[in-house]
Amino acid sequence: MLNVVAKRLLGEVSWGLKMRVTMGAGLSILDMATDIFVIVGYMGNEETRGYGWSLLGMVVASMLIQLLIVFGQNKGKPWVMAKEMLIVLTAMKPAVDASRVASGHEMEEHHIFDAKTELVTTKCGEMLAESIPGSLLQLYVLLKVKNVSRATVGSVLVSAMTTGFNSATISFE
Amino acid sequence: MPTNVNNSQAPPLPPVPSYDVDPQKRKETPDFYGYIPDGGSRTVIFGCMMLQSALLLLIRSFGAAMLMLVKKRYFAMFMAGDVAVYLLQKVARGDFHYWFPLDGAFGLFISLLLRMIVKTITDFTGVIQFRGDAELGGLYWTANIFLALLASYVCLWVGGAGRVEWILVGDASGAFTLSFGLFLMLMKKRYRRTFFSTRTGCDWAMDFFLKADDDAGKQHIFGCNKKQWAGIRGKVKEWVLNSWWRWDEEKPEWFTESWIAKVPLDFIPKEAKEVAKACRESARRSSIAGLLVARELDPPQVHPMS
Repeated sequence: MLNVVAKRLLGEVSWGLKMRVTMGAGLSILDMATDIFVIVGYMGNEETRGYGWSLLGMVVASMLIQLLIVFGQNKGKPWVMAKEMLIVLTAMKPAVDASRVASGHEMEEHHIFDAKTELVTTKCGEMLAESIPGSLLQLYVLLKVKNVSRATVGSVLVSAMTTGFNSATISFE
Repeated sequence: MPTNVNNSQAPPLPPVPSYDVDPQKRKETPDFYGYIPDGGSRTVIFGCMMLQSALLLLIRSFGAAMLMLVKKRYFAMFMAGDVAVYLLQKVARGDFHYWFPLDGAFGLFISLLLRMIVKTITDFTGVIQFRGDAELGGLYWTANIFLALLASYVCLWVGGAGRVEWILVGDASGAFTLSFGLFLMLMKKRYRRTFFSTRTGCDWAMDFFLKADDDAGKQHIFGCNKKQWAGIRGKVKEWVLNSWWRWDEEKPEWFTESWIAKVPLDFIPKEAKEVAKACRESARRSSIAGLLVARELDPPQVHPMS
């Protein structure tokens, strides 16, 4: 309880906590949207179709890790698990996690992680499965394939900013 | 003889993962957490941390992509070699075991897996948290980041980069250095040494016991891998043996079933061994993660177990 109060006070002093949460949620959703845009772009080109499948595999792997975390976290509560899985499948998990941490969400009886640990685990999984290999792959395609959409550059930059945000959050929050 | 424990599967709070502005973490590990000053510069520091991670990801990925253009095998060999050097120095320093309190072959596998995951994430994003003694270690983290930048230049050279590529990576490296410099300037001075620490995860784990003022602090040692604190095993055993019946009377909140399950049986007084075995059995039935991860609920105090 004391921690929740202290955390909230620290957040208010720096006015930054809510801003960071909103920014993180926005970046995550934007990252997902640009990834989908790039995948669709790759799939529409014979030369880059294979890379499209690879990128899709990374996004799916990232989601599977999130689903696994949700499964472990809510094992005893099937309905809660179903709701949480729906949050993952609609790409809203980073936003929901962030808002739970920001609001000092208390751990529930059936949970094995607190909200903060869940957020960090999810972010590490996302970085490892999607952000790092995704950025590498998109830059590789950008350098290799001449007629690839320049929008890929935007997607790489959004991915980098999202990863930067996630990395800073792990150390900071 | 009655033994009262908190009848909860909740293990004691483990020391990681952790977060610099968490008041509890700052209290538990004051030499590591607390580098972010209070006040207006916090948001600037957050911005620096975010920018340097984003830039490092772009620089490393760009270099790696250039290398892959020459031959994908070169990239695979470079990554494998880099991780191998890291693991070998961990083994040479007796610091291979990860902090998770897992034994045997499974424990070794998890240590190997997590060491590789943390190294890869740090290589590409420079997560500052992973400079901790239990992860890469301060000096290795710092050297790793700057070697990663250097390696990207080597990749550009091998890949025969043109003028534009050199300028892009050069500018990004400059921005990274400026951002990291500003971060070091704004953080609390006394924590700068954490970026040059040569301590190991074993030193870090043993400090939970050796530097704590009270039992609530010392008990965190059982949240760490036994291999990490083998050097003070005798002291820890003596402390448990001498304090057991007092804890049994006082029922501190961390004296839970799952905490007892993590205490080696030979540390526990003969009369309480059956209770400890029951706690182990109960913990085994619950999930592995339940043994590893913090539960910050207030566990209910319970009825005597005989």
